[in-house]
Amino acid sequence: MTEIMSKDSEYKSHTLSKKEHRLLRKLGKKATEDKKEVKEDKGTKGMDLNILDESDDENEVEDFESEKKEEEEEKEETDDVPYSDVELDDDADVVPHTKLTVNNNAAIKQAYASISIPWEKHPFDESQSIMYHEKVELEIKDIYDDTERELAFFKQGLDAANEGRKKLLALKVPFSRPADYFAEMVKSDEHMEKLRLKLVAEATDKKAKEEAKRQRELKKFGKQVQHETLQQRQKDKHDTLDKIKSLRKKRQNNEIDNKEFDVGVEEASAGKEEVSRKKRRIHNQVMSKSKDKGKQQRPGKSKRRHWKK
Amino acid sequence: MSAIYRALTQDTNSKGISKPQAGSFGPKRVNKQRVLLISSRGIVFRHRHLIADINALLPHSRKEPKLDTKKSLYELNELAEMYNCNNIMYFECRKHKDLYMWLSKPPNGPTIKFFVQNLHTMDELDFTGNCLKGSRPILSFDKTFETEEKYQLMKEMFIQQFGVPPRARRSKPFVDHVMTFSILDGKVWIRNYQINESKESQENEQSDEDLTLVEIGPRLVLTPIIILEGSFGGPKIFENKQYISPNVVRAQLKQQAAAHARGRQQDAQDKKLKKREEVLKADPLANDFLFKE
Repeated sequence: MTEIMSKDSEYKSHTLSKKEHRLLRKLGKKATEDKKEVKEDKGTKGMDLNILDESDDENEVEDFESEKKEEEEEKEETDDVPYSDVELDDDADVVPHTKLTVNNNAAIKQAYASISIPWEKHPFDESQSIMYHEKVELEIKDIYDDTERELAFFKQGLDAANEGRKKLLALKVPFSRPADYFAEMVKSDEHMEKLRLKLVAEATDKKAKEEAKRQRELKKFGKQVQHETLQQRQKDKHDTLDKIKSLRKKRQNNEIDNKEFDVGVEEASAGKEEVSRKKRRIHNQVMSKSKDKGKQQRPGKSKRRHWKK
Repeated sequence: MSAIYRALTQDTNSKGISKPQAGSFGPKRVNKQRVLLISSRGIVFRHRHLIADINALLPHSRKEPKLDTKKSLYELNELAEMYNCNNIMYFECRKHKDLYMWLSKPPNGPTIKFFVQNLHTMDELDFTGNCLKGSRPILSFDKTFETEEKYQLMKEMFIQQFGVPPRARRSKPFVDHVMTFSILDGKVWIRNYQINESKESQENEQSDEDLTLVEIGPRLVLTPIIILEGSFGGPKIFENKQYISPNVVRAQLKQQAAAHARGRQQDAQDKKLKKREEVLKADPLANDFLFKE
């Protein structure tokens, strides 16, 4: 290795390597072709720029170029002309560099012809393939929306299933699987059981959640009702005590009259039954008080406890 | 078994006829396919499940053990010849991450290479459908398959590889699933559905369609990369411009992250300098200035 290295450093050969030969040959060829091509290119590239400005689809330029390249592709695939060699106008914009790709439609057609089977000449049964009548791409507005996309595929599949069924039944091909036909399925029974359990679990979860929600709502409602009844009871108590106080005051001031008293009691007893019971008790007490003015019957501790409010 | 059966029936039928005529077994069958299903080394569990699923769905397929080489793919042609297969479905896995699918028609046919994405196998619990193992599917193709040459070629390949030929060895009689192929955004989306019939439509053939579909799986998205003229060889006849290799995508992501990190580093340095340079002017009324002496 070292010997070869020293040789290179001392002696520099002037013969061209194979790579350099190739490049030279290319440039020599291109020198004549370039002048023609450049003129064409200049003209066509100018046109292309205008089309670019007008159109939004960037593929147009590429197709134009790829068609040109078709003839060249058959010999050499990557035959880039470096842009430094091509003469461009000074005021022409820099053409967007397109990746040199292959789209050899003739060869594709040939390949297709070599493998294709004429399905139209045979009954539908042979291939069982159906062409959908619409382009799915046009049906979908947003390709990133999963549900919309899957729905479009579903529709396509459903349409094909319906059409296929009609055609197969017309050909007397058995279509529906009878209920007693047991054969190996693509997914095992255990797997289907797992799926079923999962679905059942999902359904029960959902129900349980709904039930819990309902209970929560009821509880809130019930709590409200309880709260209200408590408040109502307190209010009634307060009212009756106030009335008692007022009555006692009036009695002290000797303004009270039996008639007057009765009206108030009757009005109250016209309402609820429980309230009327209480009132009657109170009424009796007060009446007894009014009878023997000397003796004042002191109410019990439970009542006196509430007075302190 | 079938050979013995056939021999016995021929004996009982008639002794004059040695070869069965086309009419006795039905119309002459043109669609005779066998698929060689093979994978490369370095395959992941998910891809293995996919191959197993496809093997279950395609009764005319033959699954072979892994191919050792990734470079000399022409050996696949020899394998196909050995096993008498006229289709090859080869799954190549790179870096234990990316899956590529090659569809080919040996010995001279074209080869199409796809990049497989968004792979969901049949085992996923969201796919609740089921079908007979080896029943013939109805294939549904998007209208876009008619528009361009390359799509027509792809459609033909799909029909011959994914469609079960009539009278295939392990095929079952009834039709209970449909496979859809759609083209969106330059990619091929494949879905597989089970056909559910309500009882009325089963009994009454002339009834209006009352079918529903349930997804069985697997789910694939294929991005065409390249079409070669020969079987795993030959010149390129199509190359997809919109295809970006996953390696390039990963490299770009890393570069973005690197640029972000560099930006943060630069900001930290700038902050340091700023703190050092931006000093307040000496305030003549400050305490330490007044009471210096």
